[in-house]
Amino acid sequence: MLPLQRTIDALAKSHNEAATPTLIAALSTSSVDVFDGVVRALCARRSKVGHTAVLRYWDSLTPSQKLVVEKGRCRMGVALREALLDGDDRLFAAAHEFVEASGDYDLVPTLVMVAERTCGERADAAVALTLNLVDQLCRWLAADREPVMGRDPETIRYCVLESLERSVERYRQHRRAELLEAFVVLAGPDSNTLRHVLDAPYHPCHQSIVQSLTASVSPNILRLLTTIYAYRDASQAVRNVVAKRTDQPFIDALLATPLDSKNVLFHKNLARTKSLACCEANPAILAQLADEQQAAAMRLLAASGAGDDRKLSLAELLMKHGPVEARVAACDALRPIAGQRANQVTLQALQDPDGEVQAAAVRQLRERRIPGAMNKLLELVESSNEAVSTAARDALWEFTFENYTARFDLLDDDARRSMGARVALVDRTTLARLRAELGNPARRLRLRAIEMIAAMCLLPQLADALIERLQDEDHLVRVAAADALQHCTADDVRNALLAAIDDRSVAVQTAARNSLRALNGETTPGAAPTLIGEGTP
Amino acid sequence: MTALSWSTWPLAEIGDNFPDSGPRLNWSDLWAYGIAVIVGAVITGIVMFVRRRNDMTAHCNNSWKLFRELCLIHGLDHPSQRLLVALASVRQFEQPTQIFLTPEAFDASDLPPEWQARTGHLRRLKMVLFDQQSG
Repeated sequence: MLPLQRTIDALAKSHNEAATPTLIAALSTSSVDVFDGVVRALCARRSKVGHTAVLRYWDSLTPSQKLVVEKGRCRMGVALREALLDGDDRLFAAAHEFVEASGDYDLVPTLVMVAERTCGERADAAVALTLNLVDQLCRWLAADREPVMGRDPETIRYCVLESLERSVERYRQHRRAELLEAFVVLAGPDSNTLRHVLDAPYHPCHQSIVQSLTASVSPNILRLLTTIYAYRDASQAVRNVVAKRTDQPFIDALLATPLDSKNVLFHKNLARTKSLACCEANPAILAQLADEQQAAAMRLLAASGAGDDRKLSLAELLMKHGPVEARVAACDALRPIAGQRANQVTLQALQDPDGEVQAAAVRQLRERRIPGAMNKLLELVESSNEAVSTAARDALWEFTFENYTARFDLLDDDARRSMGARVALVDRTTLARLRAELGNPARRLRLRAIEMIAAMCLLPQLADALIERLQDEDHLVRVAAADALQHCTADDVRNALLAAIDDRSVAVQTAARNSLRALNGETTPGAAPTLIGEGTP
Repeated sequence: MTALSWSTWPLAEIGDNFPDSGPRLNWSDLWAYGIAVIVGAVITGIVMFVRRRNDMTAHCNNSWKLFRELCLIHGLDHPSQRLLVALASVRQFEQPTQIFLTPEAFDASDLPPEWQARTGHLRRLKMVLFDQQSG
């Protein structure tokens, strides 16, 4: 160890109070090494006088020396407190800069005291520094990160909040709205004090806090506001603020909040909000919003307690000028709104160039009882757009194969044909289900399946399955299959029917011959059958 | 003296009535004990003073003690200590210990002429206190 280092260490650790004036006197040295050591020793000693002396040299310290001083901040509290409260301008500036650089939250109560004093540069500086520290703490809390000083952010928050709460109690005397804002930010949505102030219009701080919530664009305030509104039982004051604000940072924060159907509190708060200025049909506001934001605005307004006219106005505007997401949201928002105006917007949405928008309109077409809706839906089932087609099928939910099967025996022929045609159109599983039915072990069901195929006009599509039934063990099924195949024109059908002429059952032979005749077959009874592809050259 | 003789008279009578009691203890006999006690107290005081003087862990505010503490740390002999005291005096330092943090004070060029003879010693001391690598 260098001898100077030994001297410095001895002076830093000495129990002799005379070391402090020795070190203070050495601060005026011209030797950089000695000055470095003296600063380090003074910071290591528990001496308010020594720490004050170092603070007086703060401006002339190098960054590395300032770092050394910051490391000794745990022993410098008294000197810093005195410098902030009663120090001259130079000392105050040094202490201010020190706290700013080191983030010493133990001095926040002192800063609050300075801030509460009469107006002046020092009070303003103390307020600004307090807000900075609170912002920094909020960032740590939000990031769930251990701060550099190694203390739990929640513990720091608790201590700082306590001094700010005392300041809130003294608000009548100091009237520092910035301190209230710092308190609001740090208190968070679950603070009883904040809730009490917001619920009490005659509380001395009520107006100022509401003003902060209304005007502040601080991310922390915006986060607090949206958190209270979306995840807590928001007070009237908060709902009013949310209803009125139209500034871009707030809109960004509000529209970024997910509108989850399970979030009961958000829906409850929205329902109790009779207007949302940021979500109104205002072209100037909408022009500033991104595509997804416009959709979110529509969803929020739809869930709010605003009148149907306002919702329809926004929906109409978005249907005309909005992006696809917003048009879909507008269509969905129309769903609970009855009336001619909403019907017109829905019909307008059916003409939209985008399939998603059409699909959103299709989903509510039947509920609206618009004349011709059923035919339109059946028409849309065959839409080339998959979303539209699916939506139309969903809307025609009762035309399912199960329903048809259940009612088949009760229907007359006309009803079987008309309903069968619709089921075949709407239910995509029809063909597969019919094939399965044809393979059913119960003869009655196999026969009924052949009847259903005929009623649904699906014979050409299921010809191969019917040909298989020509080999059925039951001759009645074979007869029905042979009979049904007369409506199929495929070559393999003809060959299968020719083969069926040799069936052991006369009824099957007759049915096959009849079917062949119906197919304009040239085969005559008794003549040897000629297989197509074999007999023709 | 009269008062003393009146107070001691009854004691003398009581002791004299016992034939085998031997010579009686007088107040004058206590002087020896008193002197021994005083000497012991003085020695104890000196020991305590010396111990306290050399106890560098005790809390105090004594610049000369701090000076000795620093001299002990650097292993300075008495001539060197005396030279440092004299130098601090010439440099008019408020605290003698300031000499340990002021390397420029060892520059003999601005010292009075009688210091020129001690230039070598000063240079060695400066090396000991500021430059020299210690094993």
